[in-house]
Amino acid sequence: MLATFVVVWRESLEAALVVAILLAYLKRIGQRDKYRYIYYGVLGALIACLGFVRLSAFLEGFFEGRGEEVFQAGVMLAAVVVVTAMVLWMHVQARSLRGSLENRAGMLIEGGQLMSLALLAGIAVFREGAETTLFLWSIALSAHASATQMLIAGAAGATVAVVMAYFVFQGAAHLNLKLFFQVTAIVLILIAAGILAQAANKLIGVGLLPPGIGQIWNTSWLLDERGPLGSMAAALFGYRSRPSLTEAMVYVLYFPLVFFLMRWPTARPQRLQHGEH
Amino acid sequence: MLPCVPLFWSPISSAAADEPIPVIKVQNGKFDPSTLTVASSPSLRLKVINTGETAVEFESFELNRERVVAPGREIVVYLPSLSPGKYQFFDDFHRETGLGTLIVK
Repeated sequence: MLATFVVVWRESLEAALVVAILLAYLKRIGQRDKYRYIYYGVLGALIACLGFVRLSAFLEGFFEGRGEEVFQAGVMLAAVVVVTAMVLWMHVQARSLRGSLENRAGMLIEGGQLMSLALLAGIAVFREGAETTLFLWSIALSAHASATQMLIAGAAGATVAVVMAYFVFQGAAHLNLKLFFQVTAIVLILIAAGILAQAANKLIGVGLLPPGIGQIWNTSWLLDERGPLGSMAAALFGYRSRPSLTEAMVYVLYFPLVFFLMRWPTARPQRLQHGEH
Repeated sequence: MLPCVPLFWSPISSAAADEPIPVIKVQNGKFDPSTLTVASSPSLRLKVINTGETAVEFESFELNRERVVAPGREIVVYLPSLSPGKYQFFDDFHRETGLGTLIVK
């Protein structure tokens, strides 16, 4: 029972944190009325999780047992694209702010960006939720005597995760605006790199991607995924103590990619300023 | 830089498809066998069959793999090339009972 609680809590926490960051972001730029877009995304993802349980059985047979992993890797790649877009967009927004303005109510968010927020929230929830739903569903269907208890433990795990994320939301919503953007950007970038490495790991696990070198190092002496700090790092940032070469390279190469994409549109705003004078 | 590519990223061997794949059955968190010995190989794979009614997750920090297996399903896990030793794996969904060891000779 405790195991069920911990499993569901861990899976839910990461998704809940991304949602909390998104809600805090909206609050900080004075767009609280847009919260519902995030909620739509979350709701859509929860429905998709239920659909996934039905779909995975179908995919499983179709792709010789690889279907589920390939599908999840695809969802993860989509998540990385959306998170990256979010980071870049927030970077552009942050740069247009002067100093540490509070609650810039004038900041406009258009429809496309709102859809991105909903999508990001949805993908974050779906990514963790799909697996968890499959797990809980099979418990519900099984004839186990303690099935009801385990489902309650699962619900409790999800609830605790949401409560913890709520505190993060409250804390983040009161941070100095510039600091908030910086911290959020770093967290999102680390999360995205972790997801990317995880997607690579899934494809390696089904033989669709070569590992390069099986295990290039072992850092479990420094940080073990079994410990409390290690498992948080593993869940949130994709830390692995024994990564393959491919996974490590994918993780490391993500950072220069994001920084390059951030620098790229630099030219345009400056040109506009010159034009106006 | 480019010459390094064939050195590190050799194509996934298809010759290994003929070798029998070691099998581990798992039922509601109990692995059978709980200890499996295999020969070291650059293209080692493992077949995990879920013979129970609940979903299980074949997971191992030492093997760097985690895969959910739905009830009644079987999966094939491609393992990284491993040096001889003992590698622990477990069922993340049934942590109390599901423990196993893979011994690589």
